[in-house]
Amino acid sequence: MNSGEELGRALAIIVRANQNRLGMVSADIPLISNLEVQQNIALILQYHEDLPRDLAYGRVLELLGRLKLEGLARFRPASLAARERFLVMLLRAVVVREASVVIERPFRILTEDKDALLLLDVLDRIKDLYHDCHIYDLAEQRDRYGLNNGQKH
Amino acid sequence: MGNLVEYIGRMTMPYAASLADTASFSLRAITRIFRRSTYNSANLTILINQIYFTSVEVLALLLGIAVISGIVLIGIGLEFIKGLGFSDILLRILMAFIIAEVSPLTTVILIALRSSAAMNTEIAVMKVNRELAALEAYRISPLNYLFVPRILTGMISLVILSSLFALVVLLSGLVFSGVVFGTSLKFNVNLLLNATEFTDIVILLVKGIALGFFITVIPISSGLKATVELTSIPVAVLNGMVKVFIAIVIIEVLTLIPRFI
Repeated sequence: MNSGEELGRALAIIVRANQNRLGMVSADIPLISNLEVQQNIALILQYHEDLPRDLAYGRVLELLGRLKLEGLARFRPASLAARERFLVMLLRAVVVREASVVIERPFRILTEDKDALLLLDVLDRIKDLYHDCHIYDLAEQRDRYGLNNGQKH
Repeated sequence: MGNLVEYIGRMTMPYAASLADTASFSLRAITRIFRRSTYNSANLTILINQIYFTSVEVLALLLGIAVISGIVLIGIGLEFIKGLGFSDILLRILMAFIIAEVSPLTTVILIALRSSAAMNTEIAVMKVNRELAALEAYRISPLNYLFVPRILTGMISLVILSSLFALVVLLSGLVFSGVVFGTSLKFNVNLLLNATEFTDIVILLVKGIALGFFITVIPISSGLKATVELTSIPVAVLNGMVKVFIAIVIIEVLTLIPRFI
């Protein structure tokens, strides 16, 4: 997208279209600061599927394990590094049933990453967990995704 | 004259608007409390945590105050009243004062200072950090997930802690009276039981529920008034706590009315 306004409009359309299965990853949709990492992710399962707490935590530990993040389960968001925070937000998004994951300007969260290698690699590793995934970013970030002009991911 | 009316209107409008806000929020909260679909594993976890933070963590302090109050009010007060001729009326007043007034008031002050202030700040911080918006983005209703468990906790805690406070005041007073003045425990228990009326217990319970409701609803509703600026947090907390104080006074006064009817 060429401008923030254009991006906002495009996001609004996809958010409306996938409202019931939206898994949003954005710097504007933060993790809940007084919940631990596992609680942040389990919250979606407990609230929408009424999964008992222990079962939800078990499922979350399994998911964290897939990204080798199980050691972070009891951490609060404030103590996470930028990459860790992004991955936890992504896991929170994919636990939505039939998730339509929307990632908005990922480099606002992945502040230490120069390119999208980690992002694309992780999305590939957990592709069985979500239904579809859309990344929205400004045109000026194109190079970070390794895209040529006009090419769409 | 027109100017005076305008002035009064201008001064009272913000208060009326704030009252209407709180009333509308209270109504929505009450509706959700009675709706089965409100409850799920997520907010039951919050409910358990909140009961722990609100009731269990404060228990030692509350019981300490109850023991001291018991020694003063029952232990020493009872002996003093016995020394006076018309002990029946005074005992009746003493029991009504302890059960329906001192117990809920002490408990609510303790809970309001501790939990209401924390709740007010927590909600304001969540609003500023866009965490409430994050919940909504995941179709999690803040009212169901955050507010209903806190409101229920307030009501449950106030009722249980006020009753416990009253019980400990009576027991500690009786023990003190027996040990220090050598009065028969059975005699004192009979004396106090005869002076207790069922109305006192009803007032204690009603007050507990009303106070518990408002000392949680008001801080939550004030916290929600925070904007995206950090400086709005102390303002929201300050306004909320002043309103909590006013609500406590109003409920105290309203619950005195049935005694005069």
